[in-house]
Amino acid sequence: MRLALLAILFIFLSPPLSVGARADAVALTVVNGAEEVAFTLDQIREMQRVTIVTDTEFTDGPVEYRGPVVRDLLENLGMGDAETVRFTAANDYFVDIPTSDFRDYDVILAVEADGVALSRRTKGPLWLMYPIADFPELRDRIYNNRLIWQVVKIERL
Amino acid sequence: MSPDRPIPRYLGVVVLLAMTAFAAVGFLTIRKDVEALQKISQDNFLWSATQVEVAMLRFQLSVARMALDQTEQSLAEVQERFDILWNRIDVMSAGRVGEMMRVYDEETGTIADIKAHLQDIDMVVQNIRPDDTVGATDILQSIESFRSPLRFLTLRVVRGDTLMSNQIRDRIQKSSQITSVISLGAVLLSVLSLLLIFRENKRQRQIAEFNRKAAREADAANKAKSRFLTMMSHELRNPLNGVIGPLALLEKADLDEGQKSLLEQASRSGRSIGAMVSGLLDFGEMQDGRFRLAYAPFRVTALVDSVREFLAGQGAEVLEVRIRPGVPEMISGDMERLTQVCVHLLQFVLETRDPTTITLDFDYERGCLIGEIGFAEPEAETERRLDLLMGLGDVAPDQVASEALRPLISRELVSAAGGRIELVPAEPGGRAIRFSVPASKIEVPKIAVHIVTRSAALAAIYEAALRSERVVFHRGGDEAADFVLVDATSVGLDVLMETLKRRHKDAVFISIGRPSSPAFFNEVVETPNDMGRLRSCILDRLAS
Repeated sequence: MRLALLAILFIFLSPPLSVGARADAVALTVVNGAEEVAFTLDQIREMQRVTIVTDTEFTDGPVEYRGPVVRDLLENLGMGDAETVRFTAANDYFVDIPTSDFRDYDVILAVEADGVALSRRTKGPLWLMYPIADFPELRDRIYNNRLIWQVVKIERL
Repeated sequence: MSPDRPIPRYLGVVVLLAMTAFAAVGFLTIRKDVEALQKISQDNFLWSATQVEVAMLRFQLSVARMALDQTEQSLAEVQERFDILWNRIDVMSAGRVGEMMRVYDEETGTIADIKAHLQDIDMVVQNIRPDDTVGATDILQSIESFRSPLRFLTLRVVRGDTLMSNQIRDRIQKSSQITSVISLGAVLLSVLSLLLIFRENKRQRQIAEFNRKAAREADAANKAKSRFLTMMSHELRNPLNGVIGPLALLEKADLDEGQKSLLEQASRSGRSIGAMVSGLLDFGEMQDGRFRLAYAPFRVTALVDSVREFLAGQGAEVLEVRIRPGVPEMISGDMERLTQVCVHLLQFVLETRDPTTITLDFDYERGCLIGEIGFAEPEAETERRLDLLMGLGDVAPDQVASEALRPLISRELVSAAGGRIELVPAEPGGRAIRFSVPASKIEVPKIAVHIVTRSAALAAIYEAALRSERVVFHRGGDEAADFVLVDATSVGLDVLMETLKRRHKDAVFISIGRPSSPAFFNEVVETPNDMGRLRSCILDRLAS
């Protein structure tokens, strides 16, 4: 009975495995066409970070987030001219975001919330965060859906 | 409503307030609805609820895979999926999403139960070995018990989401209805406003037409009156000339002193009536717009002489005229009309009282000729009439009292010349009538005079007699002269004259004394000490 249950779950729910992309040290993979760059969490934390204080639908009250600006990250990786990039989460959820968002707003890849490093259990270690509190137009379902957490991959489309 | 009745002002205010109220209500309603719709549409509870189920299933899948392949990699995935599920449950407990989920999960407490269970098995998941199939199976079974409650929770969220969609639809419908009512009200008010505006416009046009008609009639009447005045002035002037002319001829007759006195009085009265008739003629022309000033250069001294001539025997003896330094010798203006102004104003003062002296000072400031008629402190009656003079601007010409006719004509003439009349204080303690009219200054060229006499003393006498700012004396005789004065008794006159004629080809030659050869001279002053004759010779030549 137990084995049958395990087999059924495995057959119907198993996603394709991407062997090698799940190495423990790799927190973020950036894919720019044929090139692929992997970052550890320490490398990301060493990048120049900015602070955003904002509330979201998913938190109680305003929270101070810190992390590198996505615009700078993309430009440093030669993706400044990309029109759309795809952010993929650890649960394979993804969202395609026009890069105009990053030009118009200081969107960050948050690694800290109120001074505490984000973990898997707290939507980390990387959470895409918009300065919602500073721009009323960002209080919209479209931008709400772009607050993707547990980001593991960024890809040029 | 009758079109003759004006619309009360408060009606416009009421309409304006009503429209403002409509606009405010509409704006607030729509704004409130937009904010509510924005907030509702921002939430995504259904997605969050289904993601819990997905996360739970994927955790179960990872546990099953670990039980089958028993590798460290599978164990790592189990722990990651456990963290992801933990996060999902955490999402359902915080923020606005958590707030709404608590409403849906209030009765069953499924989320709270799962959260508590995850905390219970946390240590088990963190410490399980990849080959511990029994432990994996226990985890799967314990998690499986939450599948149905979670499914029902998702269904409640689906129903709630549907209900919320219905609320949005109802709100949009209600908002549309309110907007329609407000729009209809605004349209009705706009139509009402337009009707009121049209009605008011019609009334204003009627008033304007009435006023135009009244103005046309008044203008026609005024022109008729002016034409009558002009015609009468002409008709009076012709017979008046027929009186003044013979009187002037009669003055040359041999009359005794009594007759001469009567004749002089009749002549003065005739000239006075003539001046008044001229003034009336000008006034009539001004009233119907035909009046034109005749600008020409003239000497201020000529103006003074003209005024004196008019007032001869009528106050000229008490008149003291002063031309202040700085007044140009020659200016451009209508001397005849300026004479009338002075005469009318002076006669006005003379008629109102009998002053022992009356002064007329001419000055020139900022391109205007200024005349100031001064007199001693006026009596009460004079004061009243001076005020009458100043108050002329406040009344229509046909309402002016007869005693103000002279100042009225003066004021109109000065006004036509672009000037003004005012009463000003004058020392000591009196007042003065001051008029100013624009008058451009005309530069008068210098006159070069060469004097040829037997002796230097005689030349000095003539220089003293002719001395003025305009006259330059050339004693040497080498420079070109405009006038050459020659003593008729000079030795060798013919030779001298031939020399002088060659040297001063364009000059006017004046002989002082009877000359032996008159052909050399343009003018002759027979009596050598007749300085008045000498001056008039020069001035007449300049004038010509």
